[in-house]
Amino acid sequence: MNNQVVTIFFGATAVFTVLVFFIIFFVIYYKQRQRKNILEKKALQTAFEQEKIISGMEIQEQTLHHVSQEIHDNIGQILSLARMQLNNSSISHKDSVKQVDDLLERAIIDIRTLSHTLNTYKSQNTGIVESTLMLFEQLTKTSQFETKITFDGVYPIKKDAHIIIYRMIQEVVNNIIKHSKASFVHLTICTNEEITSITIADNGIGLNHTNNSSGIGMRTMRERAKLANAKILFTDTNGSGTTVNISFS
Amino acid sequence: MLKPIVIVLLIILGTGFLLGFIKWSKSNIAFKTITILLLTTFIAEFTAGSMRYFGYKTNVTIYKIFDPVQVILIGFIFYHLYYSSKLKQFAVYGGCVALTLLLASTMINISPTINNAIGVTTKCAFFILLCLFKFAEMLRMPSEDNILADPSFWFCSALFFFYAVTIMYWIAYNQIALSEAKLIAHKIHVYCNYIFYTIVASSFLLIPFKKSKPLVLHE
Repeated sequence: MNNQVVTIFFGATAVFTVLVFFIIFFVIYYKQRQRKNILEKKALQTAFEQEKIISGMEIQEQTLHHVSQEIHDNIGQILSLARMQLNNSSISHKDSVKQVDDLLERAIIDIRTLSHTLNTYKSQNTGIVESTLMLFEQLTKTSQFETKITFDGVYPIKKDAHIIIYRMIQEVVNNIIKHSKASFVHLTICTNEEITSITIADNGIGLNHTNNSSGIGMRTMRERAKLANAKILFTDTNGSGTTVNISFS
Repeated sequence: MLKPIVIVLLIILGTGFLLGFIKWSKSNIAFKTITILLLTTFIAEFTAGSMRYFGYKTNVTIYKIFDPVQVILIGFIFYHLYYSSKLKQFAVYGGCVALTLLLASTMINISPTINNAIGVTTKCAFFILLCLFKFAEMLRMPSEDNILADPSFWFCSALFFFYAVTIMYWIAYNQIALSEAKLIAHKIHVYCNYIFYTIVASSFLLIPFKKSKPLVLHE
């Protein structure tokens, strides 16, 4: 009897010890994994923040480039023309003043448009959809394009990350103005409580795949979309236009 | 009067149920089910103890009825404790398999004088697997919170500990039943029951808690 009791006693003790050690080992190992994951998460967050800063700087740089180009190519030209008109002795004083007045008015409108384009999103309390609609209103006002706007859904809540998406939309619009040779632009915005989808389609020459800068532009936009937790899709309709779709939550 | 070992177990189970009932509104579905499990265990143990008190030779039938209920409830608890859909599927399909084997074994050993050792062993193996998968999931997706303050960890540990002991007890049951060490082995098992239900009851004290979100690194 004693032998059997001793066997049971030692057997049970051995089992308990193994099980208790298993639990202790699990807790220690779990804590190690927990610490490692927290560090990895922090590192990922830091990398993400850094990427956001770099992207912000790139956007700023691009905006400055856009402003300087606008001033040089457009407003500068108008003002130079105005100056030439003033110095042109062959035109009567009255005509000269009238022409200069027209040119200055154009310059003022261009400066206002430029300022408006840059500050709409930040200075006014408008969300991504409202800002995009305003951007297209301005595009319509240029009379260079026939535009169509289709909007279905509700206005999503404004988020900080949307500024990146808005700048992407601005870039798409600028590319249409500068390179697409399009005559018609169609903006479609579909929103629901979870996803906002913005599609910009034109009837221009389409994406120029042989152009290296176009490829870099698309890659940069894809990277920015990733940063803003958005998806961007470029569709080239075989030389009869381009469709860009940006969707985000 | 009921035996003291049964009374102690009923006190622990009753306390656990009361704690679960007090924390009911703050508990998640898993811990609400644990409260129900404690209540059903209390009823089963009370009935089994009463049968002994009233002179029945055996109360094995009560455990044969209670075992399938336990498999369903514990499977349901783990279904809600798991984050992974694959593990949830395991809780469902594994539970169905364990339940089928348990019922088949009960049908074979239908006599009230025969212990359903194979059925109980199957049940224990299922519970141990549920716990091990939960431990693996916890390691794969560690939460940011302190594990020792997580009631589900204590529930899993207690369940794993108890059923690891129980499975060995039942595997060796035929040898133990014939030997003179039967009494001490039974007592050890009873104390394991106390430890298990005390830890489960104590885990209610760690509520309120939020279902801690695992650290997701790559979505």
